[in-house]
Amino acid sequence: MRRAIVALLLVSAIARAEDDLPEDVKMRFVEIGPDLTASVKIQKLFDQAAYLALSSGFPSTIVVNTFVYPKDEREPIAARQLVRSVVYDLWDEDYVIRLDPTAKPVKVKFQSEALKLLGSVDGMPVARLADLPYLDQYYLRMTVLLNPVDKKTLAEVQRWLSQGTGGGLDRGGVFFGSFVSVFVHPKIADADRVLELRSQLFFRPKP
Amino acid sequence: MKRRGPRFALQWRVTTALIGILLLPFVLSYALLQQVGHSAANYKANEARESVAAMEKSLDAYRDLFETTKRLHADIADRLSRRAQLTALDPKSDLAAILDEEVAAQSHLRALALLREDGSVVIEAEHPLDPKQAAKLRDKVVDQPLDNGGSLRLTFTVSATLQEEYQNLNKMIEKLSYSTQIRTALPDGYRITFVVTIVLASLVVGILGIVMSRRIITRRVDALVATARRVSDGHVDARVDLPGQDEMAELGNAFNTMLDDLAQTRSQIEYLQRIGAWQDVARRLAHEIKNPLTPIQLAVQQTVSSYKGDDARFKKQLVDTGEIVEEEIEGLRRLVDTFRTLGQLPKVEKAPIDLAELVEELKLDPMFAAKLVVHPPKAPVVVRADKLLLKRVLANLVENGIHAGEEAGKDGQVAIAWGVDPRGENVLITVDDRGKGVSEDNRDKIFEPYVTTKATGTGLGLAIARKIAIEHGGELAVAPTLAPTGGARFEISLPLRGPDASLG
Repeated sequence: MRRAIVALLLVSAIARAEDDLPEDVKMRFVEIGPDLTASVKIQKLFDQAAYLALSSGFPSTIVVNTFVYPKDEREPIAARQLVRSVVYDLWDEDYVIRLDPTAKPVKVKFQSEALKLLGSVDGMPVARLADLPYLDQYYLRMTVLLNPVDKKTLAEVQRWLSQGTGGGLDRGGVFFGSFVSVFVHPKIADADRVLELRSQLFFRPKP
Repeated sequence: MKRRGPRFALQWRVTTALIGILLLPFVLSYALLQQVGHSAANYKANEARESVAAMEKSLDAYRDLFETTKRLHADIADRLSRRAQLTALDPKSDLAAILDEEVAAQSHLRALALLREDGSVVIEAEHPLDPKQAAKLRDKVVDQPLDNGGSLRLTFTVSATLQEEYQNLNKMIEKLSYSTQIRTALPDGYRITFVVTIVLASLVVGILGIVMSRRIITRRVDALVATARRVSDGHVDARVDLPGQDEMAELGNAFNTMLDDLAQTRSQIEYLQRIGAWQDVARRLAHEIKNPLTPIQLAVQQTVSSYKGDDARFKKQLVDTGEIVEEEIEGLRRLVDTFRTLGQLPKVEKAPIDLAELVEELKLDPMFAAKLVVHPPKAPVVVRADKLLLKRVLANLVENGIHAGEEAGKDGQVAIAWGVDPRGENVLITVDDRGKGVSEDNRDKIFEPYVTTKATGTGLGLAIARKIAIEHGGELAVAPTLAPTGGARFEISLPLRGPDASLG
């Protein structure tokens, strides 16, 4: 019986570890100016619900975090972030996509076009070349989050719950509420969907 | 020997008890809190769920509004596209009139344009957008194809903020959804808060319990134990100092009083043993000296009287010798009498006596009558004592007092007073003289046999007096301070009641 429990625990631990493993994806690295850029096609980000939500008229956000690691190391030497958003204009019936917060919005008529644009990471700067010595081997780890939870909104809700109406006679409640909120850990997911990708090993050839 | 179990320090017991007392109601309220927390959270969560459901219906209403509006626009476009002049792309078409008709029909049509197949404008009409409404409105363009290949472009005004409101509503739903999830987690938060608070409170109470019990109880018990050990190790003068006004301080005082009493009793026993030894010696000396005195006296008297010679000088020498011998024998007799007095002190036989009567009897002695000043208390005091012995003690003290006063060049008056102590246990008799007092060094010594400060004293009077006092269960001592009369104060304390047993 005891052995069975131990085996079960082992299996579940291995399964959990496998869940956490990033998916190996072929990426393309190009040196552009002072940066190393990466290009990759992100697939499986939109599941059925996310696909339907795309045309709901509510904004969807995609956050791409990249980390460059030297081979066999745990500490990244470079980290970058890319934020993309898309919203379906319910009047004009087209998808307004921002591939970068500073970029000009792109309008497309069809969902497939929108998905293609959102899922293509083209020439995203991931590290400064100066930080990557020649011939050393690296790999890139990419975390893609679909509609990450807005921490500000969450904090606002928590504050609202912990502070009640706030002020006046309720100050004792505010203090207690704040104290209680320290121990409140609701099971709210980080995002609607999270993808973990890992590139092949790469190196900078000597010119 | 009694077998002792494992030691469980008093302070830990007190602390454990305090924590136990604190925890008991909290454990009960913990269960209650959990129940209340879940009920409140579920209630609020249900409220929020209902709000979310209502808001989701509002979202549907928004969607319907979009769809209906767009369908209405499509219908208008379809209807207008069937007009013959428009179908024919007639440049003389009165688009302005059509526009007015539509505005009158509240269709929010703002502009109309006829476009050729290549997109060029044949004719167009437009109502300018009201600048006041410009921020709230936007154009919605509908291109309706015409049968001839051209198209009719309709520009409607729609709400520019509708989608934003729709998105805000969705955000609110999202917030409520978070709120529901957080609310569901709240009871856990309260529970953890409660437990943390209780643990912190228990820790504080525990630390306070340890500190307070250490300060209030155990440290003082330890001091008591340490003093008891020091006393048992022979440090009979060791005393405990337990500050405060509580039972522990009272216990410390009682402990010290007990040690004082023990020390006094011990000193009295030692004193009585010394006196006993002296009594023995005195008895032997009295016996050994007394017997040869009479034959010596007779022999000397006979020698003096039997000389019949003419040698006047020798005769005078003989008579002088006889007188000296007689004088010395008389001195020795007095000494022997004193020895006998010390050696043959009678046993104490107690009976109730009124101290006032005893003092009055003293005044009958002509030597004391003029010198004795009596300060009796308001109420008569009766003690159980041996009248003769106590009278002897008082007589000795009064006599000493008279001599001390006279030696100091004063009138030799002696004041005697007595009274019961506040606890009603002892009677204190004071004898105050007008002498020079007793120095601190001599306060104990003067009660030792054969120690005297008087020129003619034998040094036995005070020793006998103290022995008698001790044998009565009391004490005779010199007060540490001078009497109000300016001289020494002797204090005799006697038990007022209690058993007749005494150290004697």
